[in-house]
Amino acid sequence: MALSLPLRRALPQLPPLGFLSTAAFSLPISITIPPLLADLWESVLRAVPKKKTSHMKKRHRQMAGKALKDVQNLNKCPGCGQVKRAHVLCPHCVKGTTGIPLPSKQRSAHSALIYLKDVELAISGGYRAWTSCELSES
Amino acid sequence: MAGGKVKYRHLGRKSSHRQALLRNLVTSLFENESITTTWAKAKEAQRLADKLITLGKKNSEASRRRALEIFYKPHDILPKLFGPLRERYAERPGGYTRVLRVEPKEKYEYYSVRRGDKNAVPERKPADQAPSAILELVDGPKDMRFAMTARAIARQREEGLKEHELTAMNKKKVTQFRKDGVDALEAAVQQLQIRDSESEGVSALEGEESKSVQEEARRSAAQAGRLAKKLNA
Repeated sequence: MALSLPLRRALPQLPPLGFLSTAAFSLPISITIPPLLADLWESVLRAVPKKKTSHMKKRHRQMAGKALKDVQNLNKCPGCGQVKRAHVLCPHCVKGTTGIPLPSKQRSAHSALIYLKDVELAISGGYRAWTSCELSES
Repeated sequence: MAGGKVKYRHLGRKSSHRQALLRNLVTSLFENESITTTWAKAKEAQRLADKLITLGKKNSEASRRRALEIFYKPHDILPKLFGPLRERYAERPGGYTRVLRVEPKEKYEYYSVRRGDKNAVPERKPADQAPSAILELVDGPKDMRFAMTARAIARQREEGLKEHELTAMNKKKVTQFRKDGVDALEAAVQQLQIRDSESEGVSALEGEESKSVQEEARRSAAQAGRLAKKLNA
């Protein structure tokens, strides 16, 4: 309303606006009587959507070409051997490292055994063979 | 920003909000040695954290005042920054923090507000699904790269694999400036191996030959002690 008021005041001063208003009145008359343009009216002028586009249709159309891409930058985690994304830490190992550390009693009993493994490895270089023979015994 | 070169990430915040965020992140980092946040925030907090360590190494009255301005809990953190952290990084020429990319947390963390109430619907707290990262103080007790390298070495020994060049590089990174770094890494590796052998040992105990295995372990432990003495001598 606030906008239309100044326009009305401007009307008498501007001849083009007066011309437009007369055209607006003449339009409905031309539509109601189309003697020769009947075919054209049916075919072209009423080319409007018959139905509202459904949500599914719209989403399918708009999401076309935006599907999730395959992750191909994968490699194996050196810590656990499971597949992980390259340049990203392995989630299993990250979870595992925040775990509770071992109590010291068990540690001391076993560390000697492990140390032996390392010494053997250093001496013979046959770590693989050593472990496999241990496994076969147990 | 349109046109100009961006000097830092704005993180979708106005200046005061961003400053507050970074101060919070850095306070948490120095408190806990390691924080998990989004990658962009981690990178921004890293800049500030490195500068703060530099202040700690300068160890002057001016640097103390500057550090006091930044932390939200200065009285807890300043003694740490000007004490153990200054000593830890005395030899290291920069690069006191590390940002490691990690997978984002679970999308929803469920928790119930009323614990006794059976009918209470568990509330869920959404986690940021943006690219995430761990920001950590290098050579600290929660050094993730140190732990990961130890894991890699343990597995490599267990399966008799050849050392990967990246593992070798990480080994260097992790032990270069750490005090007794090589020994510390070796200890961590051994601890992991113990854990593995224990989980194997549980299954072995179920079998009938468990006693002989235990005896063997004892014997080999004694043998290891002797060998160690020889090597040290």
